[in-house]
Amino acid sequence: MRCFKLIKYDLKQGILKNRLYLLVPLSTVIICNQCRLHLAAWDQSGTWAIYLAYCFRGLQRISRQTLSGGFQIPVFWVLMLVLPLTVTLDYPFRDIKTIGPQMLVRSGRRVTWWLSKCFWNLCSTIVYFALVLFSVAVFCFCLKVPISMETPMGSMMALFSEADITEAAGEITAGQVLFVFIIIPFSAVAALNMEEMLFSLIFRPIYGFLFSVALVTAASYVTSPFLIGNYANVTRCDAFIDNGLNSQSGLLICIGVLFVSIAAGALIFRSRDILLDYKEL
Amino acid sequence: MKRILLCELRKMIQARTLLWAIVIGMAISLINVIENYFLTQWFYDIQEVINTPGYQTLSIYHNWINGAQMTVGETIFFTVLPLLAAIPFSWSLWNEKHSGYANQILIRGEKKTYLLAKFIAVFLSGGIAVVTAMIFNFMANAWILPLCNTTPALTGSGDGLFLSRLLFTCPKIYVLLCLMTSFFWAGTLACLGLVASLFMRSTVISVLFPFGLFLGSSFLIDGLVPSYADAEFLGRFETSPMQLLHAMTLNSNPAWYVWTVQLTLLTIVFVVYYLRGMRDEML
Amino acid sequence: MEITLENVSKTIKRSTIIDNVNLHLYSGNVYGFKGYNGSGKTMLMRMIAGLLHPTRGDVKIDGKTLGRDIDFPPSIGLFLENPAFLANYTSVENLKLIASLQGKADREKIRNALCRVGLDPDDDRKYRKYSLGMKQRLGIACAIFEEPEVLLLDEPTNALDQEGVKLVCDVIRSERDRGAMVIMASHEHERLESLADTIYTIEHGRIVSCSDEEN
Repeated sequence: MRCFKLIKYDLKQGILKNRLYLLVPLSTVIICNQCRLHLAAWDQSGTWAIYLAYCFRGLQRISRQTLSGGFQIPVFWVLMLVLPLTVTLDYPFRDIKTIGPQMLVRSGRRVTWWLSKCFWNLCSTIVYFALVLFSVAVFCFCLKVPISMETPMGSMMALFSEADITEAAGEITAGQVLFVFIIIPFSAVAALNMEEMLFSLIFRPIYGFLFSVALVTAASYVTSPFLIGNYANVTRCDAFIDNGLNSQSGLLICIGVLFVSIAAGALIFRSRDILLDYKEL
Repeated sequence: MKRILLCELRKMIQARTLLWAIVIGMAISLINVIENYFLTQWFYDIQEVINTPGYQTLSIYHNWINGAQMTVGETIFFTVLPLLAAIPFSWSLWNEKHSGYANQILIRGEKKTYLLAKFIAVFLSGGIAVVTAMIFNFMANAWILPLCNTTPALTGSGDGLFLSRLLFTCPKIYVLLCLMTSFFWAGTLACLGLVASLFMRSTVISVLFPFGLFLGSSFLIDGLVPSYADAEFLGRFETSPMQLLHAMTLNSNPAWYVWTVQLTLLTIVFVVYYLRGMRDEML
Repeated sequence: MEITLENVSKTIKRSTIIDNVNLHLYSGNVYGFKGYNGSGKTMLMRMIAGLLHPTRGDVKIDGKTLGRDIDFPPSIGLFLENPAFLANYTSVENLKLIASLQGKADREKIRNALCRVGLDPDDDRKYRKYSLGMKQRLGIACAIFEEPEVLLLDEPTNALDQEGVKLVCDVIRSERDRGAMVIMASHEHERLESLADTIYTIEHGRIVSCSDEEN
């Protein structure tokens, strides 16, 4: 019962009162506008699913040939992954500095506090994705773009022109759209957020954030199944890209990282001394 | 002034965050070294070393962390560079203000002197953190990469890129100037965090501010001005702050342009910092 | 309730903060920890609260070991140095938020606790506008409002005016009369002598002397 009350407190303080979420619709709309221009250059109108795919488009697999013209990090994609990291950055540790110790001793168990924070972290990711999906839908609605899960081949060609897309790209089912464009990126972002929280617990929030940003940047460059940021990069998914990363194993890896982070954090927090003069740096 | 400056410099050098930033920077730059090691192994496996055309592609001047060859280590390093610059000491003003320590300094000296000394110390901290990692990278790469000159044909570098002529004619001077430019840039970024601490309510946010600003401005430039991509100025010069110091960029970043941008940014940062700092009631 | 410290020691970065402390504490008493700054009073109280784990030895609450059988004492009111609350909430809102967790205190108890420490429950000011003395009083109200069995007070009279000090002393006496165990740390010798039934003197993390009411 106390756990639920703690969760309710965390959801209210950590999500409802977090103004950083306002950046999410703003950045999503800017990305969608860029997508609109991109599709217009190919004489395509796209659908809601196409616009959503663009938000997590990322970069195709890097090779020596593609590098000959220089490498630029995919800023849109990096921002889409760094924003949730920023939103969930230091709430637990800010909480410990204020009312946290009072809530902690009344919760009865240290693990309860940690699990509540993990639940908050997961809910933050859900809220983040909900805002992205909603913002894309509103954008499509305003521009009279069909709000459907269809992925016309022409639009897919426009979006992934630099990658080796297969013929399956134009025949993706609604279930696949849900899986590839929403569930897999969601699981990757959730795993990254949880990892950040764990490293923030072990070191400090700033270093946890730095490490997470480094992981995201590395994932933009290196296509590896162990860099989980790759699963938030739709351009490297095997559903419609040749030699893409396997989505199902990606989901398992992300869920694995999520649970390992939660479990490791619980073990560490159980034995950690709670010093009230906590520092962010 | 001298005493307050020495005091600030002592605090800066003794700050554990400076050490952490240097260590993390070195660790990231080590990724570049490891990649170069595998690159050389691959090269030696498939080619004869002596008098083989293309050997210059292994040149340290092409492959170190600020070289034209893009590697994971370099990408990560320059992406997190604003963080590495801000972590060492840019939070110190916020901390001192809120702990009341700043009052102790102010009653013993002039506010102007304190602010200037703080600015200098923060500037130096950012530069030291980043350049130490770059020097470490260069020295570590020197163990595995040849110190030979390279050519435009092999590197892809050309006119319009940062100090590109010097890279092929006087590479040692090129490296020195790169380090100095990076020092200046990192120092400016650290001071950006210092300015943010005058406006923000949290240490974390003020340290993240330079990174957020850079990522945000790159995002906005890519997202809001696509229709101006053909415009003469924006199409010619590198507008993304995250790419500005790269040896190889998609758009031009000649030295005069880079130095002008840096100097302009530093001037704006200093003016805002000074005016706000003098106006701010610390007591 | 009984709190037992058995051979408790705490070392942080090779520095011994608490050294082989043995204590038996019982409900219905006021225990004072006396010592100079840095003697280890606060660290000892944090270990009793469960916020720190001893490097050696055990802290037991009614036979249950902290950190093993339970994480925190089941009924505890905590006032540690520099208490902090949510800046944009009033005192009542802050206490209501904390009370929601265990459901032990209703609005009446919150108001009563605030009155007892000299704060106005109808004050609309947010916590960030409070003076240091008001923050201190709110911290004490937070410690007592759920009528806990154990009350940990670290330097409760700091930054308080004369009236505030009197109120806090009255609070401590009434909590003891209610049957709670009150553990307070202070460097004010006279205050401790007037309030505490037993005073432990701590030096270099060790209990060097114990004086109770009979002596």
